[in-house]
Parts: sequence; C-alpha cells; structure tokens
Amino acid sequence: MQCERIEQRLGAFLDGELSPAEAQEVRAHLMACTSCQQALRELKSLDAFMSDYEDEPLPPTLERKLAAIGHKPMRRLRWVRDLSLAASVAAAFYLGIFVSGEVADGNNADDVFAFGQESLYSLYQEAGR
Amino acid sequence: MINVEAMSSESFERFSRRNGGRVFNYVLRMVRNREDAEDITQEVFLAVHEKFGGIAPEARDAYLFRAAYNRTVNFARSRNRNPEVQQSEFVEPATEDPPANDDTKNAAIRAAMSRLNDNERVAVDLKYFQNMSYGQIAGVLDITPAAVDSLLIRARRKLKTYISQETQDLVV
Ligand SMILES: [Zn+2]
Repeated sequence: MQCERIEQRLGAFLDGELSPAEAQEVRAHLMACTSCQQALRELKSLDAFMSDYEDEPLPPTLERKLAAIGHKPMRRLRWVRDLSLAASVAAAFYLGIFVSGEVADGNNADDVFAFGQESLYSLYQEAGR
Repeated sequence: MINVEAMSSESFERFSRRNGGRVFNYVLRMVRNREDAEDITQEVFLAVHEKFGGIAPEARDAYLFRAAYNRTVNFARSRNRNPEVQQSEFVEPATEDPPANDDTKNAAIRAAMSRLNDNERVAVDLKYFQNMSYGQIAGVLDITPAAVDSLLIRARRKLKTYISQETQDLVV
C-alpha cells in the first residue's frame, strides 16, 4: 500500500516537482525499500533513453523562411523609400535652383532644370541600390 | 535555465533562431512527416510573430508551444477526416519518413510516442525535450499541474512498455 503510493511519486521526485517534505518522505522510503529502488532505477533508465533523442537539424529552406518572417514585406519598404526619395528630390530642386542662381549668374531656366534633373537621377540611382 | 532578463529584450529574429529547431523537431515528433512539419513550423512562427510584442517575455515559450500544439491538432484532424483512421488525433501516416540521420533510437522513441494519446504525447515531449516544469506544461495543455502529474505517471508507464517492445536497448 505504502509502496504503491511512493511509486506514484517517483516521477515527480525525479523531475524535482515534489515539495521538500514529500521528497524527504520518498527518500526515507527508498532507503528501506528495494522494490521502490528498483522502480526508481527503471524510471531513471527510461529518462536516460529519452534524453538520447537527437534533434534533427533545421532544414535550410525552413531556416530561410523563418528568418524572412521578421522582415517587412517589400511593398511597405518601397513606400517608405519613395517618401524619403520625394523629400530628397524636393531638396535637390531647391538646392539646384539656389546653387545655379548663386554661382552661375546668367544661367537660363533650362540649365537650372537640367541641374535639378541630374541630381534627381543620381538620387534615384542611390535609392535603387 | 532560461534567463528571463535576457529574454525581455530579445528580438523576434533571435527568438525565432533560438526556437526554430526546437519547434520543428517537436512538430516532427507529432506529425511524423518532414514536409508537413516544415509547413506547420512556418505557420507557427508567422502566428507568433503577429502577437510577439503583446506576449510577456516569460510567457513566449509556452505561447509558442501552445501555438504549435493547436496547429498539430488541427492538422491531424484535417488529415484524419477519412473516418477509417480516426482513432487518434495524431494518427501516424502509413510509413514514416526515413530519419535523416538514420537514427534507430530516434525512430524507436517516435514510434513509442506515437502510441500514447495526444495529451500524454505532448506532456512527454514538453517534459523530456523542452525541459518544461509541470506548471509550464499545464499552461500549454490548459490543464492543472496535478493533471500533468498523473498524465506523466501514465505516459511513463506506457513508454517503458512500448520502448522495450521497439528495442532491446532499454534495460528493464
Ligand atoms: Zn516501496
């Protein structure tokens, strides 16, 4: 009767899930009971067998798929990039007109436009990289 | 042991790298088919990613395995719509994929675990392979720690029998 109750506790005993008082009771019983000692040995042998399970390596395709999850979809990225590009273009036009007007006195409106376009083109290239 | 302080600042990328292999192997032991295990693992991480910021760092592991548990159960249910094979939610396929590393011990453990009922199998996996406490297992299975205790008593008794039937390696 006592053995049956103790045997039920052996798994939780090995797992460290018993209260200190319960664990002490199991330990005391084990000292005097060879049948429960044998049950404990069998349980330990099962645990040892299970712990030999070797995890399979993560398949590389799955590893890549999982790594991609943290990243935002391309569409949203492009939207953010376009917004910052628009700001840069506006600044370039402003700068282009300002520089042209300041340094190259007598430049006509077409030259200013050309400068602005060139800046815009190089910015696009940069953003596309 | 899990360092809670280090976990609180953990990014999803790190979390996913730390747990990808664990979840894949867990799902593989449940569905015993590599291709399905890959798909389900991806779904699990997609679902967790959506909620990641809202989950307390110390609860993330349990949430992850709860998500994996739900998906393997749903998967097994849809796989077993065929009424002839409905005795378990985790009915094994006719033939198991050959293990990548030809490990007969792995195969014996998977075969023995496939004969447990669903909750027993999950409890065994979370205890032996995820090193979870009874309290954490209770959280994943949505039962009490006392219920986990009796699940594991039954499961260990069965496993001992099944494994000795699968192999001679276990000294009984
Ligand atoms: Zn005894």
